[in-house]
Amino acid sequence: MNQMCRWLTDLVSRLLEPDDRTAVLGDFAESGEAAWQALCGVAGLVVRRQSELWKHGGPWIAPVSLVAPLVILFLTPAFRTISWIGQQVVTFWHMGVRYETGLPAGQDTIRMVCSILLVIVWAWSGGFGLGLLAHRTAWQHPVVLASLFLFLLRIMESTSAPPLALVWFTVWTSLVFAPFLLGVWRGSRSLEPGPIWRIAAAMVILTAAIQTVDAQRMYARFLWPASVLPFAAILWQYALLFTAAKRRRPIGVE
Amino acid sequence: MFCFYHNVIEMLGEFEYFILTAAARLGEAAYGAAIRQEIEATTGRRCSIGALYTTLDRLESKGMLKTWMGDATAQRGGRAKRMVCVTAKGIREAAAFYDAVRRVSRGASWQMVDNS
Repeated sequence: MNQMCRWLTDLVSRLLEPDDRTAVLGDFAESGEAAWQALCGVAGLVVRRQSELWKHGGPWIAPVSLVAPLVILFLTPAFRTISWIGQQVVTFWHMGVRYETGLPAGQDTIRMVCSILLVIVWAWSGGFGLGLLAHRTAWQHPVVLASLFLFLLRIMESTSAPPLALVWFTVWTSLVFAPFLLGVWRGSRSLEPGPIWRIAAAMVILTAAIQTVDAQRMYARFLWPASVLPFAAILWQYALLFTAAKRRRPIGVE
Repeated sequence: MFCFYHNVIEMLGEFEYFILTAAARLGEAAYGAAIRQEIEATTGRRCSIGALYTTLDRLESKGMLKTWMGDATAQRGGRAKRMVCVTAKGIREAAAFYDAVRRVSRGASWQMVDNS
């Protein structure tokens, strides 16, 4: 029982800031309190710390007012690109040629790679923005939970056709879900929106590359509409930089 | 700066005062566990670690305390202490709270009166 309580205390204390965790676990070791008392104490502190974080406007206002509209803007091109990539993979698997165009695998690759990278960059950027704004509340944030729900729903929908389900699962995980979660992780540990400038540059270059590829221009516009994306990319970066300035500093940072 | 609540005196809370007093009494030996032990010994009430650390944070953000990570000791399983030092503002606020309690208590008696 004691061993179990100690293990749980260690697990729960990981939700605290590193300095907080060190000090609190040290205090319990020094006072020699019972394992269950230490567990209750740490759990109480975690609850207080989390509720303190949610008292600030950032975790509530910023994602709803800034992140959500841009995520919605991103969802249409992301769904289209993922469907397009899924169809390309399945058609190539069955017929040895690409979907719609009938081109072999080696051709028209620039647009395909740019489209894939753009989805990854958008997903990572969205996660980073959420992590940056919501900090330690990011993992309990409705946006993250909703993403997880949508992800699971998407997999369940596609279970009727096993090969397609595997394609969907792989494409969704590698292009959207994994970059998004990595972005949340990176953003929640970052004090500065430094990588955002590089991401902004990558978005503009990739968009320009997709739009200027002569072949299949019509499809490029269908996937990433030229009139929307540059505006969204700029607005996105501006929103992140603007709100990141209001970030809460952790203990010990002057 | 103009303040809408200029006529409202913002005073320390009771628990905030306990922490400032315990930290001031402990001096250079003031840190989380020692403050907690001091409060429990003097008040006879249990002090939760959650309440202690969130109040320490609040007092630090108000500029009444300064905290930093101290050295690790074997007694604490090699973990560092969160050291605490009361600032000049903290001393002023604690003194003001003590004065206010003394003044407001003047003439009041807390002896139990048997009315039967």
